[in-house]
Amino acid sequence: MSSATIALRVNGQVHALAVPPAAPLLQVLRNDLGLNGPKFGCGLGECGACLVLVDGVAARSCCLPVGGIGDRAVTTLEGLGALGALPSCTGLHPVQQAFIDCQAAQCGYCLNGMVVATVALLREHPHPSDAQVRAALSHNLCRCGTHLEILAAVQRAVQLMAP
Amino acid sequence: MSTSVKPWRTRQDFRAATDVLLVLRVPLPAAAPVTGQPPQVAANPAEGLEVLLAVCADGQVMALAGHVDLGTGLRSAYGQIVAEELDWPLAQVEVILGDTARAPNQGPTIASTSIQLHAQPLRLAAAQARGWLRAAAAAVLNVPAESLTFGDGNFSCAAGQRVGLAELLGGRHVELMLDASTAIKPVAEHRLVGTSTPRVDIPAKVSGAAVFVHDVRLPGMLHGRVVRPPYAGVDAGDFVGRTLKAVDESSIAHLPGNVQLVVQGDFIGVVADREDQAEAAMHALRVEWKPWPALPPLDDLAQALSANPATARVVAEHGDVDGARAAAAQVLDRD
Repeated sequence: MSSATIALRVNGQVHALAVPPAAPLLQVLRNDLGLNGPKFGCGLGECGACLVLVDGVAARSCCLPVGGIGDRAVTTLEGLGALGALPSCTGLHPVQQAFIDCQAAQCGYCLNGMVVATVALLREHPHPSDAQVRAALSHNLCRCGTHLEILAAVQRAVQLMAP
Repeated sequence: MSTSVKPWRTRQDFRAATDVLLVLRVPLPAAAPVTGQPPQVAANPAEGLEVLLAVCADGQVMALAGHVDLGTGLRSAYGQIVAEELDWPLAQVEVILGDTARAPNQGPTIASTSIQLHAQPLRLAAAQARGWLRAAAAAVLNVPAESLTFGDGNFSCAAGQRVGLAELLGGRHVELMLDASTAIKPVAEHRLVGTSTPRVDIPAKVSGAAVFVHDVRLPGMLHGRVVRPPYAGVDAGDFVGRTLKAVDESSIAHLPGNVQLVVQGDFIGVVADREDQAEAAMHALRVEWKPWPALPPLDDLAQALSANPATARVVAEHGDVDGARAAAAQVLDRD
C-alpha cells in the first residue's frame, strides 16, 4: 500500500504526512512527529499507555489507523497545557499540575494514559464520584502500584479546576 | 549564583577541568559471590579513579552514581543526601546516573541496593568537600574554621568578611581521595533529609518532556520486529534454539522499506525503514518449524510447576534439620 499524504491536526498544528493510512496513529505520532507522550504498552488497546484525545475524547492510538482521523483534533500529553492553562501560566493543564502536586508517578510510564484519561473524564464529569474515577481509569494499567496517588491526583485536579 | 551545565563527558574531562573540586575513589573490588545470584563484575581499573562528587566554582555541584532511577526516586534521594551534607540548595545539585563514561561502575540496578551501596559514600564525599572548603575559607580569612558560618555559597566570619566558591576554587583543580573517616553531619541537624521533597523527575514525566529509553531516537534509525518460535515462553529442553527448519526470505522480498532479515538459531528478526513496514514483514514472513515437544498439560498447575525442570537452591540451613524433623511432634511441608 503506497503512502497517501494525510493532513493530521496534532496539538493545534496541521501536518502533511506521507504515511500509510493503515499505520496506527501511535506510530505516526511517535515516529513521524517525534512525540514522547503517547506510549506503546500492549499494542492491543488494553493498557491505556497510548491514550490521546481525539476531539476531546480519550482514544487508544495504538488501535486507530491514522487514515481514519480525518480533520479531528488530536491532542497528546504535550498539547494538554494549551487546552486548559492554569492561571499561574506554568504551561500545564490543571490535571498535569495535580499529578505533580500529588506526586502521582513512580516510573511514569502509565502517566500519559492516566493524565489523558483524567482530562477526558473531568470534561464529562467535573465532579466524579470515587466509583466513577475508578471505572474511568480501570483500563489504565499501572505496574508500579501508584494507584492511590493517582486517585488523589484526580481529586486534586477537580479542586484545581473548580470555578 | 548562576550555574552552567558543564560539557564534561568523560572521567578524563572531569580530571582535566579547572574551577572545580573533585572527590575521587579507587574502584571497589567486586563483592563476594552469592550462591544463586549472577556474579558481580568489578569496575575496570583501566577506567581510572571513580569521580563521586564535583563542586564547581560557580556553585554547580555534580554527584555521580552508577545505578539508574527507574521510578524509585533515586535521583531525588541522592540529591537530597548531597545537598544536606554540603548545605547546598537542592536545585544546584545535579545527579549524574548510570553514565558509563562518567559515573562509577556499580553494576546493575537491582535488589534495592542503590541507597545501601552509595548513600554513605556520597555523604562522605559531600562532607569531605564541605570540610575542605571550610578549611580553605578559614585560611583565606585567617580565622578558626569553626567560627565560620556558611550560607548562599559564602563563608562568613564574625567580622563580616566573606569568601565564596569563586575565590576558593577559581582557576584551581582540587582532588580529594574519599576518606571514610570524614565526620558527617549529625542526624539531629538534618534539614532536608527526612523531609518529603518533591521528586525532581515527575514534572518532565507529566509534561511529556521526559525521554524514556523507548523514546530514544537516532538519525537513520530503523524499526524491527521479532518473529517468535511456536514454543515462545519455554526455556528448558534440547529443542530450545534448535527448532527452526526454514525461513523463506522470498516471502518478504516484495515488501517496501528496505526489509532485512536476521536469523540466529531460533531467533528471527525483521528490520525496515518504518515501523508499519517491519510489522508487515513480520506478518508476511513464511517460517517452517520442526516438530517440538508439546507443552506439558497444565490442568494440574501445581503438579506442572513441580515437574518443570528446575535447579534446587538451598537458601538457608541451620542446625540438624533431619534430627529436628524426626523429633518434631508435627511436620509440615510446603512445595
